[in-house]
Amino acid sequence: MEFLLFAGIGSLAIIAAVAMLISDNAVYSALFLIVNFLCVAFLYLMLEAPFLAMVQIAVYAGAIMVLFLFVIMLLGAEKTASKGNRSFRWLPGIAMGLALAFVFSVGAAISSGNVDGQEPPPQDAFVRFVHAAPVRADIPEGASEAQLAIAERRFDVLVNGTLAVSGLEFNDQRGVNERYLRLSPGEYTLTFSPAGTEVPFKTLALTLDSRDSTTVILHGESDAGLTVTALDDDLGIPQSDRAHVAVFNALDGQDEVRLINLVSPLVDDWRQVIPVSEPVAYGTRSAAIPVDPSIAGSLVVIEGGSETAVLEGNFRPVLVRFNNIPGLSLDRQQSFLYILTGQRALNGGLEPLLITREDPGALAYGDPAAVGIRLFTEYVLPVQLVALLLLAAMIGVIVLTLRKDIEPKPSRLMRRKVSRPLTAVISTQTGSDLGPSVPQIEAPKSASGGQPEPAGD
Amino acid sequence: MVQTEAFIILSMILFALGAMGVLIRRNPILVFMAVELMLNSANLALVAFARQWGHSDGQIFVFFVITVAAAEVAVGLALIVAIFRTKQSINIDDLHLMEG
Repeated sequence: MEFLLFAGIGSLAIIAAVAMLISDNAVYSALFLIVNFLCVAFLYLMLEAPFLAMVQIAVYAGAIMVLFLFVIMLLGAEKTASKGNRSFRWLPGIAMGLALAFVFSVGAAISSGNVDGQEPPPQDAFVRFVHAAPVRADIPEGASEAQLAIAERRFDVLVNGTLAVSGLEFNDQRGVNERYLRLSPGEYTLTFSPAGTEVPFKTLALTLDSRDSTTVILHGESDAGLTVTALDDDLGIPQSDRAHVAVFNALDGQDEVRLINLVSPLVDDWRQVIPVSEPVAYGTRSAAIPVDPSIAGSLVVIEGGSETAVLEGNFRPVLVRFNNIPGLSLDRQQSFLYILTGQRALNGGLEPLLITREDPGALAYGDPAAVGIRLFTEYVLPVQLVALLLLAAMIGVIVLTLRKDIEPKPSRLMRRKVSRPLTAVISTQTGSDLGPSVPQIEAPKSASGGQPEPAGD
Repeated sequence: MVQTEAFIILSMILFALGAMGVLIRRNPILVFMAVELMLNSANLALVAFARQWGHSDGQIFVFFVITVAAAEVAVGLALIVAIFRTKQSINIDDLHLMEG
């Protein structure tokens, strides 16, 4: 079915191109070319490039073809068939032969397997490493480098034995303690080793599929309790006006954590809260919860997940105001994973800390937003250069079209035509006074301007 | 999913048609249109290969090609208008003199 559609659109494109070439009227040619461009735009849609399809229609079928039609009608050059005056009559035949030979040779190359019909190669998988293990309060003295690195929670990550991430540290600044890796699909052994050494400390087997997005979290409080957990980042596709949120509990030694919905961010009575997630035990992740991103502070994370604790107010709430976290706002149709970890405070308790991130796999291939982001990040310099080129072209066009109006040639021709009868009339009306003076003025002008003309024609 | 080869063959046919147009036609406006046809077929091949390899670089190059084509058409048509004003003709066969 899809191939039939392709064949229909493709043959229409070819027919339009041939009609453009053999049409005698330039206006018809331009219209056939528009048909061809529209077909190509449709093919772009089939190739998962909606952005380019829109650009094709707007720029090519719109702007460029209007320019063509404008120039054709401005010059009155509709009739293009002028046979009999061709200098190279043999050229079309040769050109046709060359073109057909080109097409057939390419067809032969394709059928003999120079262009493989293989499936698209698998996409890279994203792996995010998050350090959610707080630094131990007491640093042992006289410890070895490895022991010190473990106490300070500084780790290297080795992927299949080669160093991939170095110096993963705990930091309460958001985003500092997370690293990204792109790995091709396959099976991997991740080894966490104390920074600077390559001694295995924790290992984790990980199987990655195409376009997977995985978070590897290092969490735990005591040295012995350090654990590495891998989580699938897929939180589902939210509805159009919702965002998906999930919480990973990395608070070692604490009660369960649960997400509750706070009706008002300033509410005093905690009994108004509505639990929206099941209690999340240590080292696990809650299910994806759809939330309305337009309501600030709509979610609360509470330590102590039991219903009674909520009702009696015997808990320590942590407000998660999504729209108030610096540098982060919860947007529609995005997925957020909140990793609830703790930093050892002075009183020995844990100060919860949120590590947030949006889903990197949210923008699929061919998404106009993805193309736009790449255009204005990786390709900023080419975009600027192309903008300069367009500016230069615009100035060039203005210069090209203005210059002829400044030249005196057309006005001189007009004056010569008009002024001769006029001077004759004046001289006949006023007598012979004007007669001798006129040829003296006119003669040098017509001599200087009149001679190059026959050569030009 | 339509195979990439189908798009490449279509792109080649359109390119050959465009090349023929450039060689055969005498009207520079039509020659320009044929050049646009060739650029379009190259764009089609780029997008097809971008999908084949799952990389959006090809699409970004197509964006640049479209931009450059727009600039080229604007300058080219201005040249045609300028030539028409001096020669009163835009037949390519008449434009064989290198004088100004």
